[in-house]
Amino acid sequence: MLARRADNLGLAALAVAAVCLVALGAGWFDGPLNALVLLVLLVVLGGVGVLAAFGGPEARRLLAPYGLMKPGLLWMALFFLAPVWSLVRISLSTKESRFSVQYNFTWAWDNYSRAFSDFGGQFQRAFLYSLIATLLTIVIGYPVAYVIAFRGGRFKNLLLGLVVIPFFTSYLIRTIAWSTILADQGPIVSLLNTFGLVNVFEWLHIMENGKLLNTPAAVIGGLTYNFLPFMLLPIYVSLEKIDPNLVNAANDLYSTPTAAFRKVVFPLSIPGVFAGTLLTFIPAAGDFVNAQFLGNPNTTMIGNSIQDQFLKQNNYPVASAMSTVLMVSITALVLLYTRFFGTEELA
Amino acid sequence: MTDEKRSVIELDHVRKQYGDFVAVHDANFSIANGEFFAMLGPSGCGKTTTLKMIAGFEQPTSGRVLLDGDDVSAVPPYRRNVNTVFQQYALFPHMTVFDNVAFGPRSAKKLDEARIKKDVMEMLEVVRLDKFAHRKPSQLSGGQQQRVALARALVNFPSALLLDEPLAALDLKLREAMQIELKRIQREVGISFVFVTHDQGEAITMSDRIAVMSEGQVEQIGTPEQIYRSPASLFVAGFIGSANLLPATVESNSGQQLHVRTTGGALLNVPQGDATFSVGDRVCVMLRPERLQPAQTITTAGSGVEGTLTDLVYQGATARLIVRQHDDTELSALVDATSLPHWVRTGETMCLVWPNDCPYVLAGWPERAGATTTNVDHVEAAL
Repeated sequence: MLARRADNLGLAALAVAAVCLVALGAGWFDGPLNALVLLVLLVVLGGVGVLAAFGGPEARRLLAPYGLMKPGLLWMALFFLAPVWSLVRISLSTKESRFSVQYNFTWAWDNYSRAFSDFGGQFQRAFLYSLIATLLTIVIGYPVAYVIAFRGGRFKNLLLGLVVIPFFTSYLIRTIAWSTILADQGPIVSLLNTFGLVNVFEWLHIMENGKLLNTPAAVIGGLTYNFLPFMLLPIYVSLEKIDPNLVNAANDLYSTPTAAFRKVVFPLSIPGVFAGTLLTFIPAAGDFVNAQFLGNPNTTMIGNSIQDQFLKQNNYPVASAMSTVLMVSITALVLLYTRFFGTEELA
Repeated sequence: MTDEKRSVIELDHVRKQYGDFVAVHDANFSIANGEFFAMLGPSGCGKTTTLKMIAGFEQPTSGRVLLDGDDVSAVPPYRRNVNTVFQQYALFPHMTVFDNVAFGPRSAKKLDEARIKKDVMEMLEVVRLDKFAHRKPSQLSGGQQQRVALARALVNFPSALLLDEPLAALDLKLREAMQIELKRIQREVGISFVFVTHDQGEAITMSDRIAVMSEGQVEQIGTPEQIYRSPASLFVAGFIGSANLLPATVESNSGQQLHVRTTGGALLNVPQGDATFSVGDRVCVMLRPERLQPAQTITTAGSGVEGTLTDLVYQGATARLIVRQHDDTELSALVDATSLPHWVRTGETMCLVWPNDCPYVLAGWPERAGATTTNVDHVEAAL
């Protein structure tokens, strides 16, 4: 009887365990109640364990999927759901005094209005810069991925290795290295000066006041550079899967190479572009490293402001409100994007 | 239909070389309008390269490819009026069956959408897939995908249809059914089919003419019967069907008849055939297994050999006898399984005899004496 309902029991146990972990992690209860929650958690997990051990093969078969989900789901409950709970809670709290670390939950929605009114510019910049950077990674990464996938031959793995090698160095060091390269006395600015191209670059809004470093272009360039592999590799994977004979077939059916690309290769690589866009846009929108090392005070992105509010201003409620807004708006954008460019239709 | 004899494709001394490797030596033949033409040979013989040069995916190193009389050697595939059915079909996975078939006419931009729709649906009817127009290729079986590939190529009404091992990916039964289906479709549309295969049975079953290729050379071109009955070379004799090849030396020549002594010591009478041989020439006597009969003694001198029956393989309608001669060469005979004499037993000595017109003489000695289909490594090496 119990054995035949094992799958329902497994699901219920998993749900209860997850709620217990969120409760513990987010600090729903004080003192002795936490011990009770811990007890419930252990009893539930132990009960399922006993059912698996003595319930016979049928029970084990029904429990197996929930058992496999357990590590991932419980991990997420403790280290994702509980912190999100805390984050949202703090975003609606007020501090007792300016230097206090004590927060009182007061449904303080004005944290959100402050996040929008004081940091609207940073939000806009974060989305604009990461959008431009994402488009640039497509423009730069797609052709490279294409050449490696279709013309790489026996050098495929070597070329992919070359794409990834710079990323064996730390993210910070790579970004700081760019600040040296783009510096006012650096090689690129000197070269542009020698050839008198500074005016052209200023006209293109890539340089400002003869400087390359500490401009929006430098921040966008840094984002593009740092996230390029996350675009290139998924595109490569989707291109690599395409049977080269499909291109031959399109040519055979009166399509020029350009038309064959447009009608066959590109549509089949959309899943890669889609995955690459998510992997690039989402972290780029929350990035603060590039704006900090390559930008100026007028190029700060929302990531910088959140870092500042959390670590320097010690204003957890507003910082939490900003984080929540960032998270919700990225989720909304991704959902919209998935809705319009979703890849479920593709074989 | 226009003149049946008009040639659609002409290969004028075509040669293809990759670095030092010569893939096609000197292909020089033409394919007539409405013909079912097979290029047959083991892998690496240059048949697919030849097909690719006709399609335009490869350019000949020297020589010319003519389509409908025009030199197209340097014309890209998208401007050639031939269409290809690829080995793994190469259907566009992101398009429906309908859009796959409509791809060619839409790209050619010669017809309006209404006409394209009509053509596509008609062609899907020809291949009996009109009910599947809105499915994706991944929702179809192998045989159905094969027919979509056919329809996609034929809807353009090309001068010739090129098929690259189209049946290789199908199961045996489906392959046999598709052979008949392909012939039916070819008759219905009246377009020349150029068919590349390594399966000699398939080539013989379906083709009007066959070009047998080996190591970049065209060894023989002819009807299936010509190629089976009178192969032009030892390679063709061994590759088409199964054969018993007995190396021998000419001992005397009476004009129509040759007396030859096999390396196994048997003295055989064989008809001279088209070529002339003189005393002392090294020749090879080809005996087709289905023409050999079991016997207790050799009744007509020079028309049989003696040996030990090593294997009797029952195959349903027929049985295969493997007879080992004294010099260890094996002969294979294909006999009627229902009238097998009682004395045909493994381990026993028996004879294999044949009618006078059975032996066929070729110049030179084969690499390996005896039956061509009893040694796995040998057969594998040939493919």
